Amino acid sequence: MKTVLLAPLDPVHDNAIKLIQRRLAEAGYEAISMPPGTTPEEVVQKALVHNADTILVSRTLGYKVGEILSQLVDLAEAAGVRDQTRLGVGGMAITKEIGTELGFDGCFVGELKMEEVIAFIENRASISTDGADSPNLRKKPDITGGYTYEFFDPVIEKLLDQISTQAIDWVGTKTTDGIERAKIRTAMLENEGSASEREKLLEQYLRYCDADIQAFYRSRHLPSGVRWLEQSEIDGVSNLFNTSHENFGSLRHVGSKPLFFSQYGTGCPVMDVLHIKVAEAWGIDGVFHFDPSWNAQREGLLEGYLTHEHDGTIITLENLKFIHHFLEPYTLWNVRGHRGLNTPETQVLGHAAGADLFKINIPYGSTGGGTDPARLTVDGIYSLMLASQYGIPFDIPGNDELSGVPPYKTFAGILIMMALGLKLGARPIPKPLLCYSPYMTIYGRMDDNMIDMNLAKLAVWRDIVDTPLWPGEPVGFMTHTPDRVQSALQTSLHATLASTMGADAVTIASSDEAYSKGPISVQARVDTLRAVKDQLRFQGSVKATLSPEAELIKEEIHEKITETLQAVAERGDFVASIYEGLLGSKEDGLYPGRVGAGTVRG
Amino acid sequence: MKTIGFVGTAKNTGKTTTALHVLKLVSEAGIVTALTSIGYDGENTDHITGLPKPRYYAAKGMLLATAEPCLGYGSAKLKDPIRTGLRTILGEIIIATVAEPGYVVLAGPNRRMDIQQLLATLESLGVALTMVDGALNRLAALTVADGLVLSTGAAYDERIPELAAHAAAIESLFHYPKYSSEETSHQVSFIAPTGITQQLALGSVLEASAMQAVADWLKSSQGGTCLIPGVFSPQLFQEMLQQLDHHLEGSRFVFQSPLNLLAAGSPEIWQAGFASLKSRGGEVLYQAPLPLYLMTVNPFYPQYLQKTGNYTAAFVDKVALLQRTRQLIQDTPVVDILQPPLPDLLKICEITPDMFSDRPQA
Repeated sequence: MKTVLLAPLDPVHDNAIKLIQRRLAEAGYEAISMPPGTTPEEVVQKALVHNADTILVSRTLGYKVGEILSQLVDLAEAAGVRDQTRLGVGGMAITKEIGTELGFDGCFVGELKMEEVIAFIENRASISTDGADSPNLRKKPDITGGYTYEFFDPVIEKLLDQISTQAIDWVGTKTTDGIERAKIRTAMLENEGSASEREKLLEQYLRYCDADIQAFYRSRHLPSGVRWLEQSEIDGVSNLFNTSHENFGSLRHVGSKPLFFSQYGTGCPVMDVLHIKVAEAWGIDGVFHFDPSWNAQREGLLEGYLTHEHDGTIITLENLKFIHHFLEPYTLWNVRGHRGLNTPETQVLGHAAGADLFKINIPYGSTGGGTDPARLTVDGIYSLMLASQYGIPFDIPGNDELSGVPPYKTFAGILIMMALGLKLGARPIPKPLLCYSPYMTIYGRMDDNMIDMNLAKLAVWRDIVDTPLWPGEPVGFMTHTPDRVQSALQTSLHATLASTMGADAVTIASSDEAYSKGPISVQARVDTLRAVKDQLRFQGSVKATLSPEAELIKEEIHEKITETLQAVAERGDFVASIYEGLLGSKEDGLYPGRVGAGTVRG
Repeated sequence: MKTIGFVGTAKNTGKTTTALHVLKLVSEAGIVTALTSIGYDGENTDHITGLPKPRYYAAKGMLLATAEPCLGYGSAKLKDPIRTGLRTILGEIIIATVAEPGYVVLAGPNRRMDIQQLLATLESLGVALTMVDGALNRLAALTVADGLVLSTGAAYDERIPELAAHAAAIESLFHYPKYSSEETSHQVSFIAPTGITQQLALGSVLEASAMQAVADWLKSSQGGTCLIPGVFSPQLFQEMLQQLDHHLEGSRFVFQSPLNLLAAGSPEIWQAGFASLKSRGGEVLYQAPLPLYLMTVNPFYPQYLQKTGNYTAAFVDKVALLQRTRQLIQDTPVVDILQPPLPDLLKICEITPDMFSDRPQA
């Protein structure tokens, strides 16, 4: 039996030591703890007497505390203890670099993970001691893994087959400038080494671009508010983060899901990296790249390292690759392209830069201030083919509900997108909105509580199809206020509600996302990450069950999804169904998008 | 191969600045040099105070021994990586040659036995001089060095008299001779003048009962040799001397090295204790004495600002600090690396280019 000596080296606290002692004893070790106020000399003496295999020290770091810890290391060395005893350290503010500086053999960064402690005692390769190439570095999760997409509701399955077949047939050989650009961009990526070939392809590309995009390529004339990133800015962030990969802790207390995602898109890739690194350090599992709205409304994309003063970060291959470079290898990265005139090309660039996920929703993207339904249907189906070709899953946000569309219409649209994706060989992930649903609020369905409705909106999917579920986008929409504490609380309540229903992933907002009046702040991002983590800790493995009221709502939504799909199927024309409001009407607050109207050819 | 350790009394006392200065001199002298650290060196700012730190700049042809992930951190271009099999928190230690000069990040082995293995490898590669940077106040692992350069400064104590006295106490411990006998032991042992040997179960004296046993040996014998291979608590040593008022004549205390004493802390107690021991006919010796080539003093210290919760750079009077320390330390050169003129530091560190002329080039 291995002997482990546990020393707080702290004048007051030893709770971490007691906890580790209990867990080590349970794991079969002889764990000897020492009281608070123990000196390095006493620790070394005890280690000598008990022939300890390992000494674990817990101490919060502060100025001159380093010297106390290193004195222990030195004393152990001088007393000959280090020849047979391994020294480990953990505690607030301890990092791998500090552990190295102090001279320890291992260190435990962040939240206590007993598997790391035991790996260290056993001298096995462990997460925090092995650095970048550790086989134990967290694995990148697969959200769609294990789901069969089998439909449990044959009526809905049949209707979706009918609608998706019609939509794909309607698209046929139609094309758009967006699709042509995507094809040329693909060729440009394949011919990166050849300047003459690139020149030729760029000329072709520009034929399908708006005038201001052409001006950019021909005379480097930048759109208003856009500037080049300076080399010093690029180098600055490289110097900050060019370190080994970190196994940052997750937000979860138990289990491996849900995964948590947040968006970034400050307008500046450098700031984006800072936001992403903070979010990763506080436990995020994945991030979304948000592009600027004007990006969606112009034919053509820019190139180079570009920043600008508005929301959303400009999509260029260089910007995407720059951001991707700094992601931890296990962080999932979604490059959204569910709307706008550059949807197919965004998938091409996203794939080239290393995206793990896409975001495509034709009904949502072609309403409100979005793209013309015919245009986005042609572009969207091409994008689904790309997602299939690349093997990259796509998620389907249901945010049209925010305009006042009833959830069943939004869900019907999401289901059509799923059917289209599956037919084309892609893997869809529906994203029902967990929110203070405007439609349901108007009709008094959320007067008493916010739980029944949201649980019903998740549960209904389990009755329809075997699919991953990813409530979004972000959860808690319409509940947030300028009060950051309130916003963080609402996000955490919605996120854990999703967790109790076995959601696979959840998108969370920063606590100032709805009211930031500009780029969101990093500390507001941390607010919700901390709140969610604590709420998950509070909840543990507890699961939700539906109340009778929630069951009723679920049945009602299910029934009306079927009715909506029947109406679309009977209409026999997917695009016309969007124009005519079958998936969200003007009365619901939804209008067909107009950007790119009349640009479908063939 | 020669190995020099650059150690300090605390963080921010000027180890790296001193090592960088010597490094520049050895580079200019064309000596094939290897660099490593028993801590983590090369970051722009201090992990704790957030204040700027000097960075290691490696010249072409120099060898580095650092943790694998650190190879990619600096601006120096490296080539010919060699795996050592030595592991640290940050990863395996790799030896690499500087192909193009630039900044480097050093995080080498920190245990004595690992440093020893690394030094053997470096020697086999034709390295003439290895410079090992210390970390904080750690120095025990550097018993494997051929000599030390020790930095102290206001970061240890901003009171100049106390700082200088502490430095002088440390320095005084390096002047005791080598124990000439072949006798060694892994346990604390006592050899009476009669030849009878007694031993404790452990190699260190860190609790009162062990100290009492040593005291009793000396009380029952007229003189004798006490071997302490590990560490001896300075407070217990002091207590023991008080008990042995009239029993120290002819006694010899053989410690492993001055670094074993310093690892136990309180150099002032050791200094006073050894003076007392000597005055009463006792003697101090080392199994493995180690020369202290040079001491440096640094007026800088990080000052904590309560109001902002940040640290700011602050300085004590640099002239007063140097003068006071030199007054108390006569037998070892004391310099402030940033206060020229400086003596010939290579000579002081016993580094001469001709020493290495017969070595193969790395």
